[in-house]
Amino acid sequence: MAEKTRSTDSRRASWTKTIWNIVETPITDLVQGRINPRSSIERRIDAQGFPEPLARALRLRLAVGWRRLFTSHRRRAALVDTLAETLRALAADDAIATTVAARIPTLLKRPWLTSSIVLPSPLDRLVEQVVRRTRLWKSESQDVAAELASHFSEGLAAGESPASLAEAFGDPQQAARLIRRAKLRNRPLRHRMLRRAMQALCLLALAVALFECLLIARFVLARPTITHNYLEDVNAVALRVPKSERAWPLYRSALVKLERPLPNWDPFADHSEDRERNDRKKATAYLVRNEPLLELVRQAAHKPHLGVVYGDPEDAAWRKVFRLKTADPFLGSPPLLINLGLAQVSDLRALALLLAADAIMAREAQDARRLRADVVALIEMAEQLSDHYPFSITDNISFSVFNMALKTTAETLATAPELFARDDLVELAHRVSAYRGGGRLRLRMDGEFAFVHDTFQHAFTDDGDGDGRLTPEGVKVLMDFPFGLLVPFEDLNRPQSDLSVPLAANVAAIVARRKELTDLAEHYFAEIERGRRGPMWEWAPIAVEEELIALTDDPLRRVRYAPLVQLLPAIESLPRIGEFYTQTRDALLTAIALELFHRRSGHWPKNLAELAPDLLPEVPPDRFTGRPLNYRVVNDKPLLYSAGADRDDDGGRPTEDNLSRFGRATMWHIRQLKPQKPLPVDGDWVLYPPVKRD
Amino acid sequence: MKIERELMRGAGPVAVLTLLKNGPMYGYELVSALSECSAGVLAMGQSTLYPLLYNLEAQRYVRPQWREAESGRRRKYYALTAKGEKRLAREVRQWQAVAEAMTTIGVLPRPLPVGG
Repeated sequence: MAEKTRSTDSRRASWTKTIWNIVETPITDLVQGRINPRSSIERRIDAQGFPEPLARALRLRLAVGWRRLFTSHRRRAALVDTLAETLRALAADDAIATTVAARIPTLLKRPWLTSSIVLPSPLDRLVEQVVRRTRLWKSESQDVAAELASHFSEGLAAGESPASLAEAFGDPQQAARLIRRAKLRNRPLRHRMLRRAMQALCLLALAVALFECLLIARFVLARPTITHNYLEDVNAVALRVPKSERAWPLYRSALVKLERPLPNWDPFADHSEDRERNDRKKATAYLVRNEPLLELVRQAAHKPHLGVVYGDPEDAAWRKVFRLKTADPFLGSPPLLINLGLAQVSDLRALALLLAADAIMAREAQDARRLRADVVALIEMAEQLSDHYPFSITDNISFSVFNMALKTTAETLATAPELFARDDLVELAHRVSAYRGGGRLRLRMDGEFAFVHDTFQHAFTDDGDGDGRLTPEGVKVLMDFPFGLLVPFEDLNRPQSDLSVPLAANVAAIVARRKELTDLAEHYFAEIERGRRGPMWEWAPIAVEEELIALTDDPLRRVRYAPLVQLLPAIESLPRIGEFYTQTRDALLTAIALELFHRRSGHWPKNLAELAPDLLPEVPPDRFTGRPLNYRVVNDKPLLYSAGADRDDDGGRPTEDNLSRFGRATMWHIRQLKPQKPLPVDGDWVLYPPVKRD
Repeated sequence: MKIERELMRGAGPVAVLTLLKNGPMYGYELVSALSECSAGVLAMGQSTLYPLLYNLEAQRYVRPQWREAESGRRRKYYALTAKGEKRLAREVRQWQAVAEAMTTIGVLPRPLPVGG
C-alpha cells in the first residue's frame, strides 16, 4: 500500500512538473497579470533587501536586457526568493555577490549566458532591442544575442566606451531587419520553400480577398433600370375590347363558384381500371351538380374575346381560390411579367377539361345537343385564348383546348357518328378549319421576347447600350422563378433559400452580361424561325437545337446562361407542336369529310382524292413525308395515319406505345428530363380513329 | 571618406573574404581590421557586418564556430571555406579587370614604372 501511494505521488509530481514546464513561459507573465515583468522582478529584488552589489547584479541578469526574453518570470522570481533565503545568513560581501552572480546562468539552466559577459545597461538594451526585432526562432535569436554580446564585451575589453560601441553599431532597426533576412537564408531549404509557399498563399489569399471585396461592392451597388412596362403591352390587347365582349368575367364567376377541388379525371384516358371508374363516377356527379356553372362557361365561350386584364382588382375573389399559392405578382413597379404565372389561362384549361368531360357524358347519354354545345364551346374557348397577347404558353393552351374539341369530335365520329347531324358536321368542319385563320398552326414566340426583355430590365443594370450586369434584385428574380432557375430540375419543388451576398456576387460574376444574353436569345429565335419556316417534311437538323441543348449540359454554362435556360425552355420544340396540331386538325377534317362521303354514297372512298374539292379543299399532306395523308379501310372502317418520325409507311401499324399525348411516333428529337428510348420509333402515327392513351 | 552604399555592397564581402583568407577571425576583430587596413574607408558598423557574415554563411562561403578565448570569453570565429576561396578568387579577378579598365580610361592614375 505504501509503495502504491509513493508511486501515485511520484506520478502526480511528474505530471505537476510537466504542467509547470508548459505553463512556465513568458506568456504566463501576461496571463498572471504581470504586464511589466521587469518592474515586478525589480520590485521583488528591492523588497528582499539584498546588498547593493548583489542587487545590481541580479537586476542586470534578471530584470533588464535580452536575457529575460529567454527565462520565464516564475523562474526568475523563484531564483530571487531562493537567493534571498540563502544569503540572508551570509554577510554582505562583494566577493560573494560576484560569485553568486556568476553562477546565475547555470542556476537558470542557461549555460550559454556566460558569466564573463556583463554588459552595461545601454548595450544590454541594444542587444535586447535588436534580437527582439529579428523575430527569429529561439535558437537563432540566442545565437545572435550571444554573438552581439560577445562583440560588445570584446569592445569593452579593448577599452571602448559603451556609448561609442552603441554608436558604432548602427541603426538597430535596420540591423534587425538585415540580420533577420540573412538568418532566414540560413534556414533549411525545406523551410525556405515552405515559407515562400506560405507567402505566396497569403498573397494569393489577399488578392482573392481584395478581388472578392471589389466583386461584392460592385454587385451590391448594381441597380436595375426599368424603362418599359410590358404589362401594359399585355393588357392593351384586352383593354381594347369593350367590357361587354370580354369572356373572362364570366369565366371568373364560374371559377369562383365551382366546387373545389375540381374532379381528378382525365376524360381521354383508358377507363378500364377500377380507380378510373371510381374517379369517373365522382366526375359525373360533379358535372351534374355544377351544370348551371358549365352553362355559364358555354356562354362565356360565345364572347368574341377573352379580355383578361392582369392586375384587375375584380380578380381578387378569384385569386383567393387560385390553386397555386404564389406571391402577389403585381408587386414592384412595374411588375415582373414572368411572375404573372398566367393563372387565368391555366384555369381556363381546367374549365375546358370539364367541358370535354361533359361532352363525353353527353355522348354516352346520347344528348346530341349538349355534346355539340360543349364541342363548339371548346373551339370558341380555343379561339379566345389565341386572342391573348402572343405568349407561347397561351398558344399552347389554346392548342390543347382545341385538341380536346378535335378528340371529342373524332371519338364521337368513330363510336357514335349518328349524334352529329350533317349540318353539325359541316358547321364543325368550318369552325375547325377557321381556327386561327386556317393553314399551318404555329406557336407564336413574340411574347417570349417580352418575357426576356422584361426579366432582363428587372435583373440587370442598363448602361444605355443594352448591356449590363446582374444585380442583387436580379439574383432574387432568378431564385424566385416559378420553375427554379438556378437549381437542378429535380429540386424544382423544394423551397429555395436565399443566396448569401458573397455567393450571390460570385454567381452574378459568372452569369453572362445582358447584351450577350439578349443577342443569344434573338439568335436562337431567328435561327429557329429560319430553320422551321417551311413544313415539317422539309426540316433538317439545325445547329441551334444542339446549341440550346448544350446550354444545360455543362454546369458552368448552365449558371452562366441561367436566365436563358429558364426563359427559353425547349423553344426548339415549339415549331413541332404546331405541326402536331396541324396534322391532328387535318386528320379530323378528313375524317369529317369521310363521314359525309359515307353518308352520301353509302361506302368509303377508294382514296382521299375523291373527297376533294366537294368535301375537302385538298387532300392534306402527311406532315412527315409531304405525301398525301395515308388512308385505308380496315374492317369497313376508315383508317387515317401518318408515316411517323421514321417516315416509313407501316400500313397503319401503330408504334408500341402510340399512346402518349404526342405519340412517340411523332417525336423528332425532344429534350426530356429523363433518358428515353432511342428515336425514331418504328411504326406509324395513327390519327383516326383515335388511339386511347394509357 | 564615406563610400556609396552600392560600392560598399560590392566591396564589403570581398574585403571580408580577403581578411578571412589569412585565418579565422571573429566579428569584433573583423570590424577593427576593416577599419585599420583600409584607413577607415571600408569601416562598417556591426549592423552591416553581421548581416554580411550571415549572408556569406548562408552562401557557404564562410563557416562559423564558437570558441573560448584565453580570456574566458566566448567568440564566434568565421573561417573561409573552399567555396569561399573560389568566390574570392573570382571577385579578385573582376576587381582587377575593373581597376584596369578604370586606369585605361583615366579614372585611376597609372602606377609608376618600377626600377630603372
